[in-house]
Amino acid sequence: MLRFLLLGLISLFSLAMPAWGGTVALVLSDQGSTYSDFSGTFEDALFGTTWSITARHQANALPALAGQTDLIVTVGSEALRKTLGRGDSPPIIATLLPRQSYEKILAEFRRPGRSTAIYLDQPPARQATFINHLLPGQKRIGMLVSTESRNVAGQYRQAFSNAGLTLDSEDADTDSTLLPALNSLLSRTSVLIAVPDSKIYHRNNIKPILITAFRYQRPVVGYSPAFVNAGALAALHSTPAQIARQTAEMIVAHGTNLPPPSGPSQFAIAINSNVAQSLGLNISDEAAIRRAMVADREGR
Amino acid sequence: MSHLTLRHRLLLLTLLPSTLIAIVLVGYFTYSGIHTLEGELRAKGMATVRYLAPVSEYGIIAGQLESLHGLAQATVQESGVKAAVIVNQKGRTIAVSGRVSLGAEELRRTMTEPMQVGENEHWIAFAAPVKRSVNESDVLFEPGADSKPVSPEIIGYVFVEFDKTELANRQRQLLLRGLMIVLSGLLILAALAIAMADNLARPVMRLVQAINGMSSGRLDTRVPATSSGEIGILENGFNEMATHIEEVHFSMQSRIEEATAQLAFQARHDALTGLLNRREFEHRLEKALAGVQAGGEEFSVLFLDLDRFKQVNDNCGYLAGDELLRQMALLFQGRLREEDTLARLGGDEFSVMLANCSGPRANQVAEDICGLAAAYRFIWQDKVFAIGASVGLTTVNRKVRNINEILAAGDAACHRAKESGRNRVCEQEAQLIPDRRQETANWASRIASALADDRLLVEAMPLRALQHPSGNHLVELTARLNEPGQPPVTLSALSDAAERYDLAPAIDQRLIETAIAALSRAKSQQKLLHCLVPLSRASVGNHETVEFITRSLSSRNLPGNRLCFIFSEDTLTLLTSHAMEFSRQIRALGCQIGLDDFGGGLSSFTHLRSITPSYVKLSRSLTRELGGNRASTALLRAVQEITADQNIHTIADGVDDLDTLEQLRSLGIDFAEGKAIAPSEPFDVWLEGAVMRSA
Repeated sequence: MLRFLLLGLISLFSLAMPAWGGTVALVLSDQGSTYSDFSGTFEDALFGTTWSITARHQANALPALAGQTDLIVTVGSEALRKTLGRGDSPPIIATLLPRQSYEKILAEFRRPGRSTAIYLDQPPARQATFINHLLPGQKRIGMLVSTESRNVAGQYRQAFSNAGLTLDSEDADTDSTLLPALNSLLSRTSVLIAVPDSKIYHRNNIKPILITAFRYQRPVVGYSPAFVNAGALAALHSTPAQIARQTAEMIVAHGTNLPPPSGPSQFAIAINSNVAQSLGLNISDEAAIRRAMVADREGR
Repeated sequence: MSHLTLRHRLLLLTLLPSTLIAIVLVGYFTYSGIHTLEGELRAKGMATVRYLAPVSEYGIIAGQLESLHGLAQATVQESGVKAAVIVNQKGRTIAVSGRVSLGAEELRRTMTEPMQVGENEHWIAFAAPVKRSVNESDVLFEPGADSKPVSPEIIGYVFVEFDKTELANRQRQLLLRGLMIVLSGLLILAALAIAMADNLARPVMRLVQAINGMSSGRLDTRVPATSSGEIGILENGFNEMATHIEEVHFSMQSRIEEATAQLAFQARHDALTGLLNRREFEHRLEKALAGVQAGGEEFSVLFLDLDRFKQVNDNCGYLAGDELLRQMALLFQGRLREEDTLARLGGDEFSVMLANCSGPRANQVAEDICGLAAAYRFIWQDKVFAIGASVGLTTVNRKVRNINEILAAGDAACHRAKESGRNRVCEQEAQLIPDRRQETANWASRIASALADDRLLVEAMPLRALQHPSGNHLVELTARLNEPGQPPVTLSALSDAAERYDLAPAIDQRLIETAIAALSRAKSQQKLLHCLVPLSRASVGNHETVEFITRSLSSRNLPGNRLCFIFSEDTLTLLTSHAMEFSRQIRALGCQIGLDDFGGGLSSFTHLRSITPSYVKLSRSLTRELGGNRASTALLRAVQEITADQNIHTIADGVDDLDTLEQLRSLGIDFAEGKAIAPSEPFDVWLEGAVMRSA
């Protein structure tokens, strides 16, 4: 609540500030559609503002950026890593990356300040609301944690208990302990929620995890559309376009006075109806859930 | 190949290639079938491990041994699967089902792709790695993992062993089936080929057998003409050919038989008269003699010799002679009984065997036949001949030893009849002839020895000039064979045999010599002598005769103008060119020519022109019946007129009585000879008496 207040203050302050502009350079991790979506939406969002995009760079062909631009927006973890690798640079807004990655990269380069981020990680409270609307009546939620995600587990437990849910977690630091931990967790809980954790959820593990959950007839709530495609019941996520718009808004509002890193303000919902059918669940459609969630937040 | 029969060749030609093709085809398909089966097993094995590997993945990852065991067992349930093994990454077996044959070493093998890991004759093993399945990476949440494509982690292996006994069984089955197909196919093929070969070869074999049959003489061999096409043509052709050959053979056979019968008939019969010939007669005589000797009744044999047959032959030619013989045969046959046997022994000799007849009855028959012959008149063209027969009779009784005795006795009797004036019957007993003459068989030696011993008596037949008597002595020479104890044989009787045995020229030469000697002697005494010398046909045809005459005349230094050579008209008819040449040469010597037996035929007058003779001896047919027959008289007068017109002297011979002589004289005939003029006497006697002592 304190944070929201602070955020609100900053917003007000920035609005009060006379309008000023500058140049932005985009650094993209790759040429994939995700990044071009972001790039397109971002440009659209900046159109008509005092900010303009002066350069677009690929992360693997990055020229010296110092003195060239007022602000750098990196898209994806790799872009941030490469940009920081250039050493002295303008302020950076890192987008389209999990919080874990941002913190890890920053720790690698020990460069405090002068950079902020818009994470992909959804806020725990939003997740709790989502689960309540998605699977009403399921109260015991399980979560696998490793050393990377153990610190967020507390936030989740707090937010879930606020939403009337019980979070049960199990440590799964290595591959060998993963499935046994999962087995014991799934036998205790009714829903498994996955948070971004590169130690647990990587492409080699996702299938066994999903199969195991399926064997227990437990729905999995993931964190990306890819997860949903692989077999999770649903995921709460933000699209690159949503992040791009949020980034543009942030630049317009704050200019080079970077706010602290934050989660995505906008979100989307992905549901795998086949999985729902297989599990015998009757799930409302995505729009209905979203509407319910928005109504719930405004109502609060 | 060459010693095989047609059938075998056909069989070989049909069966060999098809057998080879069948074996090759079935062999190929069986082989490829066996390989296909093996390939199927391999494909199945690979497919099995390929499916089993991903299915096992979660079990390995999750360490769910029960589910892996279940998988292994389910795999073993598959047909042909002998064992299934699932091992983990480190090669430790975590699930097994069935009886495993792979060793521990092989189970610890690593690989990246499904493969065959082992095989022996009983089993074959396949293996595949179990790979961890990889999800699509989420680039946003998994930085760094996106760009490099990593090969999926291998978390274990599956091994599946297949039993090959079933494969072997199926392969064996396939092989057996192939063999069965080959065998049954070959059996059907063989049956067809045999049927075909038989169908083709049987008609040919039938033809071959038929040809063998034909060549071994069975001419009635035929083949059934059942085939069609070329073989049918062959069969029909063979049958036609065989029929033809058979017909030809049988007609030849019948002709040969006919000819044989004819020959047999001819061997026993006389061709001219159709009577039995001498051989057959002797044969029957022998049989009859055997019958008599065995106690049968006696029988008689007559031997007939035609009188004046030669005259007919000489005057009218052989055709007339032949006709005479035929008529006489018929005449005799008509008088005889069925059981009597009439035969012609040769020439003008006949013989009759009178069965069961002897003594006076036989004599009566002989007299009858003799009378028949005497009464018979043979008419040829415009001439009439009186024919007679000299008959010898001999009776055959059991005292006769062989047929030669009969023949000799008959012959002797016949001869005696002829000698004693012809046209009569003489009898002779067979066994009573101690030294019998062999009739014609020894004429040659008789004449030859007579000539050598000077027993040939030359006689003179004086001629009398009827119109203008003169001192000129005209004589015709003739001869007589004188043998001790035998009656003499006249020249006319001799001439037949003499001509036949080529002795006539010798006799003629004797006459010529005698005549020339007489002329020489007469000339020395200044006596006028004119000799007429008869010549035989052989002498006229022989040019040596002229040389002989020339030589004889010149040796005595005589002119030829007192010599006249007489030959018969039939010599002229038969040897016209020789006779003309002869007369020309004779006339060149100064000698004269006379024609004997003139006026017997109409051709006589043409001879007058071609020969221009100085004398003609009138035929007896002209002078015979001068007394009562006015036609004969007229004919004689006509002849006389013609000859007189040509200055040819006419001679009548055989004038035995004075009446005839007187008639001849009145008709104008120039000369006459015969008993009414002077009997014939030995030439020397006549020469000394009539010529030398004349005034």
